[in-house]
Amino acid sequence: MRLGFGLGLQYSKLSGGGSGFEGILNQFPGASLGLSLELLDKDYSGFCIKVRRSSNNDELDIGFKDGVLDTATLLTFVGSGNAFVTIIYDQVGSNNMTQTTANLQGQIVSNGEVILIGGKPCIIRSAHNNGGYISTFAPNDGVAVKSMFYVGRNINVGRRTGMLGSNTGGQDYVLLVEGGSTATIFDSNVVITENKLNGVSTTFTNRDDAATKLEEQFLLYREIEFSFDDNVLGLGFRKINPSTFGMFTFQELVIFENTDDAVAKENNINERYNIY
Amino acid sequence: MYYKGTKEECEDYNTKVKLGEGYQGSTDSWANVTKNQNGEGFAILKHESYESDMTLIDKIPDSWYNNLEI
Repeated sequence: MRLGFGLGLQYSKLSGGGSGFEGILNQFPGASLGLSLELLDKDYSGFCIKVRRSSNNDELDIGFKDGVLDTATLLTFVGSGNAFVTIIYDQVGSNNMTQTTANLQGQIVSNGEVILIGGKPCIIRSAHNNGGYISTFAPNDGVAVKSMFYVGRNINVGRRTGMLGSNTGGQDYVLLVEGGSTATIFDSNVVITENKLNGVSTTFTNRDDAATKLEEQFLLYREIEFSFDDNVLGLGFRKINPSTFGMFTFQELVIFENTDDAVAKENNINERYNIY
Repeated sequence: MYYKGTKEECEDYNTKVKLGEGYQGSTDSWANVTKNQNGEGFAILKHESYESDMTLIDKIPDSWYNNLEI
């Protein structure tokens, strides 16, 4: 494992979120949702995730160590088994992403090892196709255009994958992809006015094209206006009846109530993940 | 593999797995019970450690789902 490599300059002076550290949420105002396996705010003192271990299904909150997920505590708790994420804590407010159904929870530890992409921990979709998470975050809040930054990967191009959705809304979705699919509708009940993949404005020709372009670790930036029928936000497609759309591999999702300083925010994220 | 049965049978199976596995904290169920949207019947994902008298099927047929244009 390459844990601890690739940390950006922001963390070079960091000791437990201490002096010198400025997270993306400190540097740029206006965030309304902050989900990450890294610390986004020097003033955030809560946990990162809650996990369920496979050995006996006990659960434990896991925090941060030196600005990133405390993997030592995680692995001590999990032992040689697997761990599944039940909650991804919101570092902005209280809109945590939760999954209460065991077989739909994403996985972060496999056989005693943290699952990594780009050398950093990630949460992969559940083995069952319908996995995902739901929060209480209400995306239709009257702000015309938000900006969203997602770090992750499409780990299995041939499977149906959705980035964001709601709980009950069958037409509420953001970026559905699927290898082999020529469908050209990626988004519904949202308006996308900018779509940048790894710092470059990008157009997807169909779901297969998108699935392929997102096959490796990516940073996706979108300017987005939500008009969901069901005004809650989830990772993956509609939670209550997902129709076999699993979630993208997850490392970070930050939503701002503005589109200011987008390139600087991208750079902040890329300095930490070293994607492009 | 899935078990196909009545809603009550599927919910009972879910409870059986939940209690057997000792889920606690923020986890409150094993799997979702799926309703046949176009006919009769319910189904639930089989847990490898728990058996049931319900009918075992490989997968939930596509015909169980409403045609959702997505």
